[in-house]
Amino acid sequence: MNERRDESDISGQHLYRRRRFLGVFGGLLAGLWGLAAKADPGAGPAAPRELPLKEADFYRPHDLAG
Amino acid sequence: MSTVTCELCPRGCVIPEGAAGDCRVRVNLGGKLRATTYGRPSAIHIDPMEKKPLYHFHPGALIFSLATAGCNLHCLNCQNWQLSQRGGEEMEQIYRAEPAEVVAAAQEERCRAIAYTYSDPIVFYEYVEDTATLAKAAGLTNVFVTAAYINREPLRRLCRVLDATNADLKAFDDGFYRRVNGATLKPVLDALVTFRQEGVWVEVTNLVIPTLNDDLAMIRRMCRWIAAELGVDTPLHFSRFMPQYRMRNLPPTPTQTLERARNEARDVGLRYVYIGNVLGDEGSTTRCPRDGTLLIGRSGFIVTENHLTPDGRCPTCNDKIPGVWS
Repeated sequence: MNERRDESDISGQHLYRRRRFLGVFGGLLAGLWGLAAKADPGAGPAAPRELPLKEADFYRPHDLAG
Repeated sequence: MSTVTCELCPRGCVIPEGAAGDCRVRVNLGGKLRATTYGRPSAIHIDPMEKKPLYHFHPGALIFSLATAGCNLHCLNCQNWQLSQRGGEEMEQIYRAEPAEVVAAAQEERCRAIAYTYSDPIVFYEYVEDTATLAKAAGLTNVFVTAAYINREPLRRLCRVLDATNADLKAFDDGFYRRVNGATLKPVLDALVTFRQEGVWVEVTNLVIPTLNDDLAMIRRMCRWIAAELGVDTPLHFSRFMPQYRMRNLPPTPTQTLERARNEARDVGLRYVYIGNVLGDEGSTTRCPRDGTLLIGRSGFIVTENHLTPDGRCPTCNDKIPGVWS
């Protein structure tokens, strides 16, 4: 049996899906932001990796001039 | 808040507390000038001497080469910009290498010299001075590869522990220096003369960039200046430009341009003129200026033959060939 539906029913379902999508997506973004903030509280440029001289490969090919 | 003035190079940076000079690595810490990269090189390699390039200084020897981040020039065509145009804290990797460790490593690897190179070693002056002093005491020689944008007094002091330099003369035009390098010409000329006066072996490199500094009349003036102020025996290397960094809009230097430059240099009396960055070219061969005898043959950075006598003379005419050979 076919149920009668008019334009307002169709438009209402569309808006509901959009609100639900935005809610889920927004929550996801907020969660990811929270995780990132927790993992790196003082987020700034990464410090260089410091190695002792004995770990340098002096004979590694390079393209530095000079 | 106290400022400090860095008197090392002609920029004369006035640095507020906690800030760095134009080179990014010389900072004002509590009112004292400190080089943040002291003992913290970011590039360490063992190269052939010919790569510096030095063609009249211990040919074929290996040279322990190091650099820290930072530079006091900002060349639009810098090949090493990822090292030179960054501060130490911006590097991905640095090594802990105090001067004594550097000298010990060079000796262990049987290098006869240490090169301060890649970026401009002027900005890690104190590290160079301390390392070079120890190296000299250990019987090693010290090579300074530089754009020579440095004040006279600190350079004179450093020359006491330097044996050789390859110094860039980027153009014989102050406008070029200002536009392309962020520097000026006169201090560079003064520094080249100081090297010579202080007894450091000098070789000069001129990178020829199409349309910017390839004017033959200017090259001729530059060569005349080298002949008059540094001497006709000063080796001059014309080097081929390759497009990179912020100068990708120009083509590589045509070989013919380099050959024309070499002809100009020979025409004004320079006796040892080379062409670099061009593989397999006759331009990297050392010949006796008197009789044309092949003295040192090279392929790329490799010495393929060396016919100099042990005391650095031409085997045909016995003329002394200028350089540091033994």
